[in-house]
Amino acid sequence: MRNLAYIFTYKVNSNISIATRLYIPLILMIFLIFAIDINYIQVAVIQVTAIFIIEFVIFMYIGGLKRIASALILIFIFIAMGLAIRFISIILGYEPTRLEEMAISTLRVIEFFFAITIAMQWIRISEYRWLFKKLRLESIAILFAVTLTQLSSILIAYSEALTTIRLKYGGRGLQKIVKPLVIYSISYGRDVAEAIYMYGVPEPKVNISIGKTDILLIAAISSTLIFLGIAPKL
Amino acid sequence: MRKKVLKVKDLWFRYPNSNWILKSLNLELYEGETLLVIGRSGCGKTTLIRALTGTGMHIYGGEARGEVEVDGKRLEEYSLEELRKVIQVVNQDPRTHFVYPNIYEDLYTYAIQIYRDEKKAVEALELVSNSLKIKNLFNRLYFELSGGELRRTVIAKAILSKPKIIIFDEPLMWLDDIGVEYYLNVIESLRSYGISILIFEHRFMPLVNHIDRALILANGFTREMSLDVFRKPFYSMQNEVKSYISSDERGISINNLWFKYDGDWVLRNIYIDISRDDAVAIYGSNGSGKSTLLKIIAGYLKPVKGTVKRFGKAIYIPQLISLFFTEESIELELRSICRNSDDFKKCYSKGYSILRSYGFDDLSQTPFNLSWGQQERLAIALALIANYNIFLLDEPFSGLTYLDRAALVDYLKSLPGAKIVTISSRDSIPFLSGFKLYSLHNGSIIRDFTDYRVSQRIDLNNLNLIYSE
Repeated sequence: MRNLAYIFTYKVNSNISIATRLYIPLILMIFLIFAIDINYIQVAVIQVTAIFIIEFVIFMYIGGLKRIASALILIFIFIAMGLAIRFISIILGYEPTRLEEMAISTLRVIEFFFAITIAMQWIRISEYRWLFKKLRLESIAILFAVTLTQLSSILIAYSEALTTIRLKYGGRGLQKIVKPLVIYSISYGRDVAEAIYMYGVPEPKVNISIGKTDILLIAAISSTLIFLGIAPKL
Repeated sequence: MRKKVLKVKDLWFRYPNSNWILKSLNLELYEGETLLVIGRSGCGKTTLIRALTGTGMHIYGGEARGEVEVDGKRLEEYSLEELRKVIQVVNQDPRTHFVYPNIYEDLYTYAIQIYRDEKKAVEALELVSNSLKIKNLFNRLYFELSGGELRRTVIAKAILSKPKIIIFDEPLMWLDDIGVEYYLNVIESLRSYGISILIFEHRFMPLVNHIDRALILANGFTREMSLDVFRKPFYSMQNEVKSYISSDERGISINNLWFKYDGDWVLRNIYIDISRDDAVAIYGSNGSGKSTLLKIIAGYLKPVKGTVKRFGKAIYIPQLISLFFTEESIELELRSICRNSDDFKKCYSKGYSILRSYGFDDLSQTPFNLSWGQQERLAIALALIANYNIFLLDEPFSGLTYLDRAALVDYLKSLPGAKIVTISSRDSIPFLSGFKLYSLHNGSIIRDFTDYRVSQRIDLNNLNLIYSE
């Protein structure tokens, strides 16, 4: 839970344009949804491996790989559930999904999650606010910025609540965590509202200029993805 | 004659569908003056702040009567933008002040909002960050900062607009000794700039030498107090220290404990032995590993090396006490905790009488509405009902007045079982008379403190005198 708190916040001051930082994770997500065909398993393996390398390089650049790896525990829970379902299917005599297909699908989910994480870590909350504002969604922009900024604090409190309730009820009744969390979130939200009343929500300052590095990056990623998407069909 | 920067005359305030909380309250704050307002939990300190800034009316829909004059102008005549430049508030929880997580970005965009000119904004930020020594925090995220660093950063934000008045709502809450020291230095800087300061704080001992006047808020109005009352000693030394050990039976045994988090050692080579009925305090600054140690003792975290033996059932009571409760009434809390016992009926009837004996007569009230001190006591009573006999309290004094602290310690003393309390400030030590004291520094127990029992004893007469003034 604590590690999740770090996923939603950026770590670096980047000189790369917001256009590039927005384009790269978005194009990766689109590729993962539309370009991978599970019926061509060997090609799919190459595609997911290539995407993994691209994402890994970006993570190396923006930092925080260790925390992201820790937060992957949530993804591993889903993998474990998938394996359990597969095992149960075999026991019950149903035809289970092929193991290779399952592995590729799982990797796609993880890579999709990585792309979202890149978008969260590489683009500042203030830049998201600016983007929403440009889309004439001013109220949503403020809500989004404040919620995302405060999410980390709230997640840290949630982790404390989880410890407390697990120890209080001996691991049972974890659903009971909902009430204290709702009450805490409301009371915390009220304090945030008071602070906003006294300090306001400052306008973000966003630089939208595109430099040579941006053009190079966009061209490199786009051509790699086009090649990865088209080559297998040739 | 000194100028009045804040004048409150005959102020009444109430929230929708509630009784009057402030009743004909009067208050005056002079230019460059530091005024302390104390009061018991729930006396209306935060409500008064809300009434002084308008948040009580505009956010909570409260009703206010009377006059509030800020820098010679009535509160309702100010636009919000004007008001922000005259009066600023630093909330109890400084984390709530951040709109953007990066410290520099949050302060810089706020400075631009105030000055509407990049050069002036950068100059103001430079000046403020130098005087509060926060430049090294600029590239950090707010939730990575310690309590003291957070408080300094938020004060920097508050003074960016060069307000005439700064209001602090419980500024010492969650601060360790280092954080308190930093805060007091900042207060002295603000005083030297001639800023008027209004501090609402029940942990007043560290502030006594940094204030000009003090008021007590009780029954909806304030009364001036003589500063001499604060200058009397609050604790005395005892020649004979009473131990709580009634038998030689062991409660907890920690042997060569090591714990690592994110590759760093958080706890190193910890040895602690606690007898069945003993009371122990673990003192250490924020981040010294106190909470981690409690979670390991409770069995929630597993040590990397070493062993923890518990000779009983351990319960963990968090610093944010409201997170302990899961039900909408005390009665449902009792039912819920008894559902885990072997004999529900027996547990319920025992619990009913325990709760009544500890003063919880109305079981239909919601635990979330109780004062901080009552919530601490209720959590401990529920643990007792569920047959827990190792009580682990993480910084239970955080939200408590000094009188509530004394009452909580008395309550703990009456409990059967091992008690471990963590504290982060030295002014809490005299309340724990007779407790075995361990000092934790950077994850290790400082040997000098081993087997030391707290020999100070709080002077309740002096404290009572303050609240009865």
